[in-house]
Amino acid sequence: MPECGESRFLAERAARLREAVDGAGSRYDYLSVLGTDSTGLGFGATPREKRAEDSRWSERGFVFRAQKDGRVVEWATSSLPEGDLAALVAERLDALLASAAGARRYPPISDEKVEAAWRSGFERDPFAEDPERVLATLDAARKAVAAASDEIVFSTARAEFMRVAKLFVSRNRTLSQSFVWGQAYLVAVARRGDVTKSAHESFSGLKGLELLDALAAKAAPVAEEASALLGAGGVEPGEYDVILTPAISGLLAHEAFGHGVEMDMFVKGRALAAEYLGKSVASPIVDMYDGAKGVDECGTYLFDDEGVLSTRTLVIDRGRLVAGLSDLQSALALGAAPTGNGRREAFDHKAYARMTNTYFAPGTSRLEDMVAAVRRGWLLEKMASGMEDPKNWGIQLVVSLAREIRDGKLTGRVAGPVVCSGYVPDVLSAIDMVSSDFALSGSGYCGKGHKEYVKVSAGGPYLKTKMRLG
Amino acid sequence: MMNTVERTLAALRALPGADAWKLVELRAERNERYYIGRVPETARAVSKTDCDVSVYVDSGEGESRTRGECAVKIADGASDAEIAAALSRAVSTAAGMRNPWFPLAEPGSAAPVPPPNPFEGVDPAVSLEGLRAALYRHDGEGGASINSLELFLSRTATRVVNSSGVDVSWTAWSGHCEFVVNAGAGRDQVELWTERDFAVPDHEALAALARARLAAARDRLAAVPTPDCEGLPLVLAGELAGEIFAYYKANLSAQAVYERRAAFALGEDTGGPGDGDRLELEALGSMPHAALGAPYDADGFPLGSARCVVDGRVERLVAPLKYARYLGLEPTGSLRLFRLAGGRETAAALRSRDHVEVVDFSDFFVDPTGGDFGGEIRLAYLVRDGRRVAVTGGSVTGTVPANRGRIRLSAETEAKTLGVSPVLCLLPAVTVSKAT
Repeated sequence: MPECGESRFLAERAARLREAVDGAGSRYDYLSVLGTDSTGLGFGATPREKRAEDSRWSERGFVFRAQKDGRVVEWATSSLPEGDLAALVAERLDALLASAAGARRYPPISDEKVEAAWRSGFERDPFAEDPERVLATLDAARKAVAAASDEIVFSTARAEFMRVAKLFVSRNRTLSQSFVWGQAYLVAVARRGDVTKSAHESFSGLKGLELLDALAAKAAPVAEEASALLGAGGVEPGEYDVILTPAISGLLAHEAFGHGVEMDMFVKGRALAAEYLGKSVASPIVDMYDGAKGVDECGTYLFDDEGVLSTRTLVIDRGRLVAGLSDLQSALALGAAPTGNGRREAFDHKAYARMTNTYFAPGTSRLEDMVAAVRRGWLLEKMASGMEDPKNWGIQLVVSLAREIRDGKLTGRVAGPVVCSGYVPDVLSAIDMVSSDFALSGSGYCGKGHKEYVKVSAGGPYLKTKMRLG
Repeated sequence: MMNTVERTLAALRALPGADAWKLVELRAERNERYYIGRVPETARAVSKTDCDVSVYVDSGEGESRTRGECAVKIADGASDAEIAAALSRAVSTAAGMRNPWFPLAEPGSAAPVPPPNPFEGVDPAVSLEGLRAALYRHDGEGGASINSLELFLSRTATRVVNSSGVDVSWTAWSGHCEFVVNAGAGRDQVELWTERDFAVPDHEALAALARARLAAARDRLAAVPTPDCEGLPLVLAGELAGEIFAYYKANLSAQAVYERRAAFALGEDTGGPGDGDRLELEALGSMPHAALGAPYDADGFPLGSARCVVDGRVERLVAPLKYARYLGLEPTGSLRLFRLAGGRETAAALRSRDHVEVVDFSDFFVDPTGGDFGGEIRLAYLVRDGRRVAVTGGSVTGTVPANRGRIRLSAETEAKTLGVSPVLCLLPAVTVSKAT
């Protein structure tokens, strides 16, 4: 399997960055720099156009972080200035420290010696492929979507591949990583009269072009789903037994106790979870994890954007909330060990406590037994969006496609969109069956509020619980 | 030594195999301040230059003429070899595509010069402190307070150059604030989250916004679970009253029409036989208050305005150069803002009937393709039999097409992130689910 090559750009600047950190480092209690050189390709095929462009996730730049007398400031730049880099960096950081005279003082940032490197592998290199061939693959999949139903008025297939390269240098650390991730989408828009509905299927992973091998098989199901939604009604509002597919399980994990345990929220007093550490918040058959380490998906890395090595955090252990996810500053403020969840949208953005790969652990049930156990309920199948409420533990999941279950059988009736809501501990405590399946999806992204987007994945098994649907 | 953009332009002017090209440079200086309570958490500064290049390769002649396009990013500080490699890759990729031909912007009339921005010439640190003070002016009122605040202030110089001779540039300021307010204490404490973009230092508007959100947090604290509201219309206020029209905006796009996924066609009546207000919708390039505004679009096309919906009927589409050409329309450029005219009744009159007025969803969604909308209610006011009660929980679902011809708009309008639109919007065909 080929390995992702290192960034020549970063390699050529490593010595200069080391010199700057060592040169200016004596002025501060802590000084680090994160260099990023990530390039990506995006492809799209629609009925009347084909498109190719560099990915919006492409970035190259540096962020310097200094700590002095407890205060933490950062300066980010897309290019290293000519001349005495240590002096120029110090000039900018000193100005920021002067403007932050009254700022919060954090305990010293730990800088134990670590040297590590990681490069991911993939089967087929998207950056070496003829773009025409990638577009032809996408166009064939798109045409298969369109051909599957006369009601499809628009179809598109898109793919994106990123080669992420990062270098972190502090007084005692030198870390580097290079990895490739890919994502692809098939979208169908169907119309009947004045009703228009869309459906999509997504694909993702630490993969190269091999990711596209799965598209063709999903073309007809996407078209069928869009057509089915044309006749979909709403759900009569009320509380139901629901079965969550791995995609919706992941959305629940992400929104319910992913955002809820981001520890910068603890520092701000915005997370009710802080008061529940060590207490029961879910059914005893529920285990939930987050980690850039331990699984391979779009939220995987060796070190975070603050130079902390990745970990795998057990968030919920047999129904008990046991740990949160921290960036460096929140860990310092709370006296906790950092979990390697300090992530930036790009080099020029602040690091926050963010999720990586977030999932429920598989159990022992079988899906058919779970369906058979539902007298009146819904299989929540495809996700549209979700939103957290870490302070008040409300939850909103929007499901684009749900399938009715009556007397232990799928009736064929579909609904969408469906707004699913509830009180987080109620929803998690009502989980009474967990399947042995396990799947992660990393085709989406996660925002903090409505900004600071980072790549994450989420998933798990099928879960059976109760939720309020509307 | 020439900077990256100048070296890229030099390479483009001598680029073999390209029939046309376009370069967009964004040079941004951004200052950021973060607060927890009233205490500064950290300060950040960003200096960043983006250089986006599109290369076009033509094939065929006459009616069968085609144009391939590939967009690449040239990293700030890229070497000459990296620039050459990226442009060469763009040419070979574009050469493999055969999309219908379209023109680039031509030099011509200049966009109106925007008035000087009040942020210009002021130390950003001073501007940020003024913004912070405005947002905290009413902090603590009635026991509600600001939990945390993030403040961003950017100055972005944009330049668009193309092979047809366009070379336009402008500078814009944009601010962004995101804050959380709390009311109550202990486990009963509630919060509301707010963000706002702005282009000018309107301290009074920001102070009023924060004050309104502090009041809303107090109302959420006192709110009761949303009861059964069957049959009541939904009233959306503030930014939400503008967001519902994202569906119309998306379907008035020439690209959506060209791709045959738009719900409307030119000449079509967006209303119908209902008793709703006839829509009057104008798309615009810039407005003084709006951070999304610009005198030119990314093609370098000068932006004005276009009356898209007149008396409910679609008169024009928002048509950037490419899709204007494809549909044989007069181009408007990529207009990102819109002005939606007010309706027949005042906000007070709309509020006088029984209704549910939602001011805060967990996450309000509007599907621009099908028009589905909804969300979980964080704060709403139930007005029934003359009583107004704050409610929370439950959810709203509906579709814009089901409300076609029946939407009522307040006569009063106000400035919002996406332009100017009515203060209130009333949708009669919705489902409001009660809280558990």
